[in-house]
Amino acid sequence: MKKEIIIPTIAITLFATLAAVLLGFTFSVTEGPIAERRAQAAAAALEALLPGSYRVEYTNINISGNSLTRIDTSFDEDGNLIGHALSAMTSGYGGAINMMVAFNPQGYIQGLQVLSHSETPGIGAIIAEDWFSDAFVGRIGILVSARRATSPQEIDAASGATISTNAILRAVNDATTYLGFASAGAPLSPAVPPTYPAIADLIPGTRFTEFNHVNSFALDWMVGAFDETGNLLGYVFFTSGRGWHGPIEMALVTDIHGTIQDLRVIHHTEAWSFGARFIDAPNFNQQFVGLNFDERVEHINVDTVSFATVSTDSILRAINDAAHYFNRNHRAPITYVQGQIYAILDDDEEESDEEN
Amino acid sequence: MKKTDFSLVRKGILDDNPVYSHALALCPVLAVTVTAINGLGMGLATLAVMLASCLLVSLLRKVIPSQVRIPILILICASFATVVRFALQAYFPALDDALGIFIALIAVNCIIMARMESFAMKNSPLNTTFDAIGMGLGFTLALFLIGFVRELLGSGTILGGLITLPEAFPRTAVMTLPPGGFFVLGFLIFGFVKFRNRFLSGDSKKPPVKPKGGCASKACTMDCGEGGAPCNS
Repeated sequence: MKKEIIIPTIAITLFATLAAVLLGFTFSVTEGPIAERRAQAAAAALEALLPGSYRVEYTNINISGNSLTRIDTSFDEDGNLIGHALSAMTSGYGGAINMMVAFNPQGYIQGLQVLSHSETPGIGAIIAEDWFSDAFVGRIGILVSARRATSPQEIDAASGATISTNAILRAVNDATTYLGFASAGAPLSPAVPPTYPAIADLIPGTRFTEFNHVNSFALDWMVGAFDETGNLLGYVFFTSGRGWHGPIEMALVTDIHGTIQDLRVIHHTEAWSFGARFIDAPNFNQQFVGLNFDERVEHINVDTVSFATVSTDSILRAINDAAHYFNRNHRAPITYVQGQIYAILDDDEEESDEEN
Repeated sequence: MKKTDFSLVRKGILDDNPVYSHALALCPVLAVTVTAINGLGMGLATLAVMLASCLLVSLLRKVIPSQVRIPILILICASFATVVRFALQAYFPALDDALGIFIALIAVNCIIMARMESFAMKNSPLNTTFDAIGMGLGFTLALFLIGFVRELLGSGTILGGLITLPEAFPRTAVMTLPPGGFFVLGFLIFGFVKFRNRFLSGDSKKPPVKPKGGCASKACTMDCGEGGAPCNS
């Protein structure tokens, strides 16, 4: 009786242990080559999409409800920005689709590559074919699928493969929105909070505005303000950093070069005797005016108020997030042309694309 | 059975071909045979796992307690399947991409389970090796042929673009889909059985399809040919 239980138990334990040793050994041998192959495949895709890359910086992206996984920003030998390649994992009909979409510095789609997919051969699998991905090249803004594309925002849906087409479109639009290049297309889905002050109140003379939903760390929206002839007047960054008690929502006003002109707290719930005393002080915003996005704002630049470290940190972090985003995407002056924004890179300013 | 039996190899490929004679493992057969190269890769991967698993089972057949033999067999098979998967990912990434989940599913391939359970547990390592090679090659051949035909009719290429047929050659999209796999499999089984019955039963001493002494008395259901119950795994 006992033997019938003990011997099989020992046998299974023994076999399981041996299997674990075998698998562990194989894994340790193949781990390196597998990682190398994956890196090679990604690098090959990046090189194909953004040729001439010399230096590539990447950031992993992990936003819930967003298909993006990573952004590679590529520079040539002289440090000029070549473009951004965004990796995304979106879900198609047959499972995960891994893809990469590249944008040039002006926000136009430069290329699209499906790295792996498990769509139905002959139907959904056409998303991996050249004619399908080529249709995206040269587009800008939020794209939609159409039965017969007529406008620049429409992409021909692959017949019989609506789900696969939409999966790709979702990832491309996520990437466009993430980079803040959505301005040329259809209105962005998330509405601008009604509590935000009018841009004209913040930047006098504003006639046109372009809202970019950014959602990058504490930065929520980046707004370009233009006068009636289309000249860029400045930017407003709406941020929501986490304070001691709750979010601190701010509007950060800069000129076209990223020098802070004003800072207004829209809403906060900080304790009245600590954070609030700092935030609500009459000359509070004056401490920030004149700071430039060129350099990271550290504690030393601003007087930290005693007992309000969390509130102060939150505001500094929001400013730095805005600066980071500005330096990455909109360093160059922007001109307003027929309802579309093109960020035009000036040769002299390109080296400042490097992160601060 | 003789001490060493080379005819086991032939048996696996022709007389008892797991796909054409027994219609086993249809899931990977239909799923991966869109091209001949995929079929070949899948077949060889299965052959490797089958050979390693069956040989190990045969060597340890006296040690494996019969009450827990099934979990141990699956454990062995799954381990080797994982090893093969790692190796493919590291050294043949293109093949791994094409075969996808079916490499991992070799772990529960019914042909391997059947050979381990019904043959390797009862036979010497040498005969088990011949049997595993025969069955593995039979499986590989079956997949390769289906893949070859489907690739030719569906994509108009031979061996992955080695030869691309002119545009005038009609491409039939259904051949790249699982239903096309069924069509091709059906015709190949028909052709295979015709070929076997006409040319092979003549020169072997006894027809391979004739059960001897009833199937129930036989250890392996696969040895029973047409009259036997199919291996249920």
